[in-house]
Amino acid sequence: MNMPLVQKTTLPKRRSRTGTRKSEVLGVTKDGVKILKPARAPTNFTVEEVREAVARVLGKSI
Amino acid sequence: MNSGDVFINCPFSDDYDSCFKAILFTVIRSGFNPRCAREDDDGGDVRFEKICRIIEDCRYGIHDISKTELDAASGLPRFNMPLELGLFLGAKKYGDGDQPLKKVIIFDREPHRYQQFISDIAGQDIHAHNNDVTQLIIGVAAWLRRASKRKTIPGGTAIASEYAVFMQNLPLMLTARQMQPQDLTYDDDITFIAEWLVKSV
Repeated sequence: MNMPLVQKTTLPKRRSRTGTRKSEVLGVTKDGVKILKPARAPTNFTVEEVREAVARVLGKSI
Repeated sequence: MNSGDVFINCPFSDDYDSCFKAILFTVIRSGFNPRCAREDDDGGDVRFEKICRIIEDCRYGIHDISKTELDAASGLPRFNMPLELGLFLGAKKYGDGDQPLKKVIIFDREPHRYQQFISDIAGQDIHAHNNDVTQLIIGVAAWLRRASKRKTIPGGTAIASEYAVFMQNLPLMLTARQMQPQDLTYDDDITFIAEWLVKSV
């Protein structure tokens, strides 16, 4: 007997597991682009250390 | 699915690192959130499941198949990038809810090279970057602007100039910790790029 290769199901479609996530804004550039806050912390630094390093190189305050 | 999430499917090799960082920089500079298989996790994740979960999250997908070539040691092709591209296209084709709204761009190093190993993707949005970082940045920025309809995304040439300055600054930012750019993890890269952009652009 020939069986269909794909059988139809009456089960509802799977709902997305992920949903939507609202990203936080870290800052806005001069041309108006919103730079999003990274979702995870850096591995080898604290965020404060990164800010200090950036400020030091750019000659700006934190 | 998140309209700000961009899946990056590309090689994670040392010889592609400047291109990878350039894509990250362009995505963040354009106001999006980069996602890829290098994201840190709890360590217990099966890699395939993790990639599927990230792909499901992402509205946009940037795929670079330029390193789909024979491995010098094994003589076998490196096929992770085409696999992840297929997953993304499959999610767009068969996924429910808003998954069909996914948008895809595919990069290779030469025009039409893909026809020799993955010709079925003909008709997709495929671009050649000729292994040139500036060309890659211009292509990514133009596509994000077009695909998202966000008019605030700056021109690729301007982003490439900013990226060059960032790459000059990066070793200087790491001197206090006696680290090199290649020592950074993916999450380190993301944080340095985002914090630098907020302070300097």
